[in-house]
Amino acid sequence: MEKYLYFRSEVDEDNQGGVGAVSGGGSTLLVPASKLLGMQPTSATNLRLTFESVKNANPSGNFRQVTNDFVDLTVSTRTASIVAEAILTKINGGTHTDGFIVIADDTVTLVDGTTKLGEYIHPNITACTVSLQGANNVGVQTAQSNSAGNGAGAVSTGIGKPQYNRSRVGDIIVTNVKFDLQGLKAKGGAAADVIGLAAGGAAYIYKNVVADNGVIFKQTLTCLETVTAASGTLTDDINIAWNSSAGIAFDVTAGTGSQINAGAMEAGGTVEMLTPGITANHYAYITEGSTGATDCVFSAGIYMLTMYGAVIPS
Amino acid sequence: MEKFLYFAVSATDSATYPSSAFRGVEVTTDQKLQLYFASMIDTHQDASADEYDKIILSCGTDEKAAIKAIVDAISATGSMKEAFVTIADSVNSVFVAGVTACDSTAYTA
Repeated sequence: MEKYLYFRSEVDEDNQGGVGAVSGGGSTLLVPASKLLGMQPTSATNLRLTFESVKNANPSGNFRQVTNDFVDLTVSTRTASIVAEAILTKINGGTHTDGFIVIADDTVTLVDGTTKLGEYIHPNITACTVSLQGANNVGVQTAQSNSAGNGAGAVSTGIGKPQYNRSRVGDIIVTNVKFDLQGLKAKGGAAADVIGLAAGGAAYIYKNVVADNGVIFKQTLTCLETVTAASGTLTDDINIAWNSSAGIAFDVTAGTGSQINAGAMEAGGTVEMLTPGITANHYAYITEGSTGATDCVFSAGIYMLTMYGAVIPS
Repeated sequence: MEKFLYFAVSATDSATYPSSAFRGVEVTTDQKLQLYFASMIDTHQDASADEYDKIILSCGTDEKAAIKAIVDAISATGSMKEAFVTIADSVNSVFVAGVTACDSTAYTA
């Protein structure tokens, strides 16, 4: 039988809803125990329980980072393991239960004004904080610690944000980033300038996090949909360049670091670069390969950046 | 035997979910329970990650008791228990203890 875990981080029952919440959600949470992903002490007095996101899931074919929900339990110093064991014992307890398990209930004042003690599954718990992530919270949009993510200036009007997926065969990690130029703009003033939203915003499409993607020894760029322009003079000379900055926006140079010099491409075409030498934690940008464009706003143009990484032996 | 949870706002607005689709309950407003389920329509084909359906129920001042009653209804066992479990039916005024109305249904497309 499924068990359900209950948390309430509000001391006054009158204030149910929002008060005490850390981010994006309420102070009360009930989740199936099967959604528990793990328990981890984050300090000597805190035990964090992480759950599959109530509101979010990985969209198909993407490698976005869904931010999971978590509940922090304030515990007596260095008793996290004892509390974790008590929680697991209760979850795995016998049939003499109704399935409703109160892990932590901070409420001490009821609606009618009477008071009670907080209710905790173990006496070493003294409080809890519920952190339920908001809808569509799929990771950080600025400089980030994980590899799969993009700046706001790289969001197309076609497929939206770049889409990520990754697979591993043996010690080879293959990472794909599909991106769409629709709605993005190439100014045409100078080669190596970033293609992105004219409104601005960092326009990187990926970050080289070696722990995620391995040491990249080959990168390829494949055209999946030939570019067309909605306005301005079209350019089909698209490159991918890497830069240490996470903040480069439209019409600003990203240089030519570890560049894939793709040149003109049509759907089905692929250009590979076998000596990328990409510096760890650098960011990938879509750049202009020439000055051929004149205020080109793309109406089509889907590409796939593929990186082949080798796992470093531990 | 899997149970199915029934909700009805009106004669033309109702939803039934398998209990395995139940993701959790959040309380963000006094006397309102927000129940989340895996989306029955969205099959993760789009780029959005907000993949859930949401049912909002009204309840009394004791939200905890109402939540527990929902769990009890889902977890009830025995030969006399049916697979079809009415959590909140505003059409016929049938509710689990503590719940007073089924306010709305919302589906992610």
